[in-house]
Amino acid sequence: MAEVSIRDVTKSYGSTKVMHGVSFDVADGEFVALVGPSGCGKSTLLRMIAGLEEITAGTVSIAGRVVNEVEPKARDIAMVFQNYALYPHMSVRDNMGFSLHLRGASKAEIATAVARAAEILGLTPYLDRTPKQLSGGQRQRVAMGRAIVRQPAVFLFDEPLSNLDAALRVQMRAEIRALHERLGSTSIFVTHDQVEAMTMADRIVVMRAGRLEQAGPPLELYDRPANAFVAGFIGSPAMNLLAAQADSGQVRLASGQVLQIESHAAGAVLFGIRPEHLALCSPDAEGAIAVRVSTVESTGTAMFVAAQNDGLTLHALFTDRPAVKRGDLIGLRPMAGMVHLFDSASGLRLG
Amino acid sequence: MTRRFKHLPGQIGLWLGVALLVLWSVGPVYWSFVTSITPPNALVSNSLHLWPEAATWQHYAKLFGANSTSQGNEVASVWPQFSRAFANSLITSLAATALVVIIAAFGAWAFVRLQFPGRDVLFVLVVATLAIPAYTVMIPLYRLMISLGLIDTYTGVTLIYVSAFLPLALWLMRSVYQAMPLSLEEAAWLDGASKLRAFVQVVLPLAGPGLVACGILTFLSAWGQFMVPLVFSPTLATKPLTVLIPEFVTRNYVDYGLMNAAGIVAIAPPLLLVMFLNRYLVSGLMAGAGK
Ligand SMILES: Nc1ncnc2c1ncn2[C@@H]1O[C@H](COP(=O)(O)OP(=O)(O)OP(=O)(O)O)[C@@H](O)[C@H]1O
Ligand SMILES: [Mg+2]
Repeated sequence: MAEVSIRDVTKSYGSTKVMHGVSFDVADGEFVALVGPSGCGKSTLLRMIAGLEEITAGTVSIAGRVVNEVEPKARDIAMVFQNYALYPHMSVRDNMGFSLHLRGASKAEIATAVARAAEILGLTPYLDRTPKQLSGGQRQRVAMGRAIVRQPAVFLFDEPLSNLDAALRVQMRAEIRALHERLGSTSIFVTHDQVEAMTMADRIVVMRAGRLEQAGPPLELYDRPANAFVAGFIGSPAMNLLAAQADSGQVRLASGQVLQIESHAAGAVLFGIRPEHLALCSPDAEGAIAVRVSTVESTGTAMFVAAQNDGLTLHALFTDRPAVKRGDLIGLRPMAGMVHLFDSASGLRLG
Repeated sequence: MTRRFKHLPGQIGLWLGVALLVLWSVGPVYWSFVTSITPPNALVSNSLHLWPEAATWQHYAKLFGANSTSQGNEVASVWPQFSRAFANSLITSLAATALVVIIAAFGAWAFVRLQFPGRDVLFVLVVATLAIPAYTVMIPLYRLMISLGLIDTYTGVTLIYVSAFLPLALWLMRSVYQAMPLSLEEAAWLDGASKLRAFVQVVLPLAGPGLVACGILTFLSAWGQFMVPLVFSPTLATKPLTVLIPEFVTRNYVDYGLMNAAGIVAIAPPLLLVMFLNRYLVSGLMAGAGK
């Protein structure tokens, strides 16, 4: 078990710089999710921690030791690959026991460790099969099993759930989290699915285009996003971000509507409000934004409404199934204290 | 019933094609076999027979016999020569095959996975040697082999075979490795394997079919090689079957029966090898590595 510390890490491929100085720490035993849109550098960062990718500048330390020049095999790290990378010519048993075999463990030791891991993961009946005789979810579990048999200092996961179907994903999400609790190991989990990050992680690190945008516990990112990007990225459905002009305690939206705010910001801002923080009211009510409903989608537990007004689109989420249908003129009122304001030029949070 | 008839023209075409192909490839072998069991006097008759009227094993007896007759006269047995040439063919072909497969297995991996300056240029140069016609290098090669004292030695002939057949094998193995996901090796490194260990325990077993294909190709090419041994194997010390068999033509008599009997025997080793290795030429070894 160990803590991981990443300091000003940059990465260049030839002359193109893809990572621009990223720093964050993962405490011993912590489960950190690394999220961001495709191509932002999540896999690259993970591979640098694993030692599969050279670090252009900055340092990566594991358990207080700088490992920039340490070979992958000496870093005491296990990684679950995006494509599992199971050894196709070995049985499940040998796949899981390979790392122990390489460090010269005795046959009995290997058998015990593999049996234990298989027990935890429910793989006992499949130990003698080869990977191609397994389902996708079982392969995913073998990949996990290969990582846990040798009890490494740090676990790295690169989108291990991305190709599974929805139901299996939810199940594996819970299993991985339970496994983490049980092993108490330090884990870094890459995903581009913010729901996965929210539900699994102790802390989330949000990246964009090779930069760290915000790091913090899931609810902190949800409640107080540090900038407009994080605000839009965390939370599903995404936060409404409306261009507005702020002046002495009120904002004027692009539609001309004026709303009262508890802020003294001035100038061009982004007015942010989450879909679940819009209350339904009559269009001419005090503090309401009048909009016309364009789509209504219902999942049973929630009703998702998109509505427009003069080039402004709002998304709202209701759980009480109000009688709203396409074409209705409705009022949506931001709930008190739920409004986020961001500087429109820098995207940074105001107040 | 109607379905079968609807496709009848296509079916006939397919079968015709298959029949032509079989005739094309098996026909000469069959003809050689028929010739090898036809008595000498029937061989020079005017009428053509798809199967000899009186089949005879006398040519094979002559080939394997301790003594031999030709046109009614007692002549020296060809068995000592034949067996020697057979061994020469086997030794040079097997040695070349083993060397080519081993070098290609490691060399191609280096061309794919190791970073070194001029890597791709070097590879193109190696493969480009395939385009050089053999006869243009024959004379310089001959002088080189003389100065090295390698004429009429197993080492010399084997080295020439290796240099001739290695580029193709390298090329083939390179594409085999390129098609293999790097993440398998990376997983092995993280599991604690050195680069060499990961290569030997993870990459090589999965490259098996490619290696077998390289082995078959090289063995067949070396076994059938004529020009190189014609120049570099002047005596029975290293002379292979391909060069020996045409020598059964004497000044006043062409022993077709004997030549074809020898030819049929010469087909056996490559045939056995292909039949044995065929089972390892399976596809789908990579199945199950990913999702
Ligand atoms: N070998 C390479 N040469 C040049 N650029 C590369 C190389 N590998 C990755 N990149 C670039 O680095 C950036 C980060 O890639 P990375 O694979 O880390 O993204 P990611 O966040 O994991 O995306 P995804 O969610 O799609 O997996 C991308 O813009 C990519 O184009
Ligand atoms: Mg990735």
